[in-house]
Amino acid sequence: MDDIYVRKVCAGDTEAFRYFVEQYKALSISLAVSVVKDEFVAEEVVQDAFINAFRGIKNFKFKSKFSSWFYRIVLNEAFRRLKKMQKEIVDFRHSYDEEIADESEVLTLQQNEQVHLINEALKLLPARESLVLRLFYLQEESIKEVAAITGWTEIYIKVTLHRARKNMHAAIKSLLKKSNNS
Amino acid sequence: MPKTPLTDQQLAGLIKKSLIEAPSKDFDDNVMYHIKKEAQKARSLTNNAKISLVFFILGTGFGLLVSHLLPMLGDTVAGIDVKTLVLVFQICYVILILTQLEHIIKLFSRKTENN
Repeated sequence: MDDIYVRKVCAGDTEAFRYFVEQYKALSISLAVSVVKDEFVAEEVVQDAFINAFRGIKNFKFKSKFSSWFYRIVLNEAFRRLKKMQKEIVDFRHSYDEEIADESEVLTLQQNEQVHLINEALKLLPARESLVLRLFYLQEESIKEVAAITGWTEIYIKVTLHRARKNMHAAIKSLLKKSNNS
Repeated sequence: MPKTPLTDQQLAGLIKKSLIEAPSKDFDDNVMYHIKKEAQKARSLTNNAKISLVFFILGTGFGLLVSHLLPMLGDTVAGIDVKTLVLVFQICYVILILTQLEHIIKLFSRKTENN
């Protein structure tokens, strides 16, 4: 389906590009938030990524999935913005054995509270860990596909994923503890 | 009560719910506005490049023609020696060719960058 729209855009049908905006905006913003940790900055990042993708769409060679090609543009733009912002994202390093709250409490929360808590927990993680978790679980990409999107090695992704899961458990516990105390 | 950690499956299920929507409601329209502006810019750049090239070729041809025809007018034109006139014209011609060629090259490289 993507290929048909790529051809349409290349042939001069600008409006056909709306398909990509509708199709990829939500996940692109989620991925960008993983890096820049702010929804509004992420929105700007994704907007710039769409413009860059439009400019370069004639260079898309159909060798990879359009989504992988586009997410790579999003990530490049997000990391470029992060560097520009020079925002210090403090790495979340909790003791994994620290039992500060019952993690399974999250399952008893209402749907919107769960979503909020998970997004906040993902914001606490370092950019690469949060990114790998979202690509692996949200987009359900394989390790190979994550490697194609990020440009990292498969081993590095496996290690990051393992570390990210552990940190995610710790982040959820920490947030649950905070909400229980308040 | 024992504290139960989340299983990987439960964690996966929770992360699947973490899709973030665009904060602005008119995000799609905003992006499409910029895309259309970009397409318009690319189109006008192509047109400008074409027009510039046509005028450059016309100017070059006209310059060659004039420098070829000038000596045929006689020894003097309006009291000025034709040889001097041709020399002045040729100097102006070369300067114009070089500067305009640079502009044309810049315009085409901008067009290539945009593509």
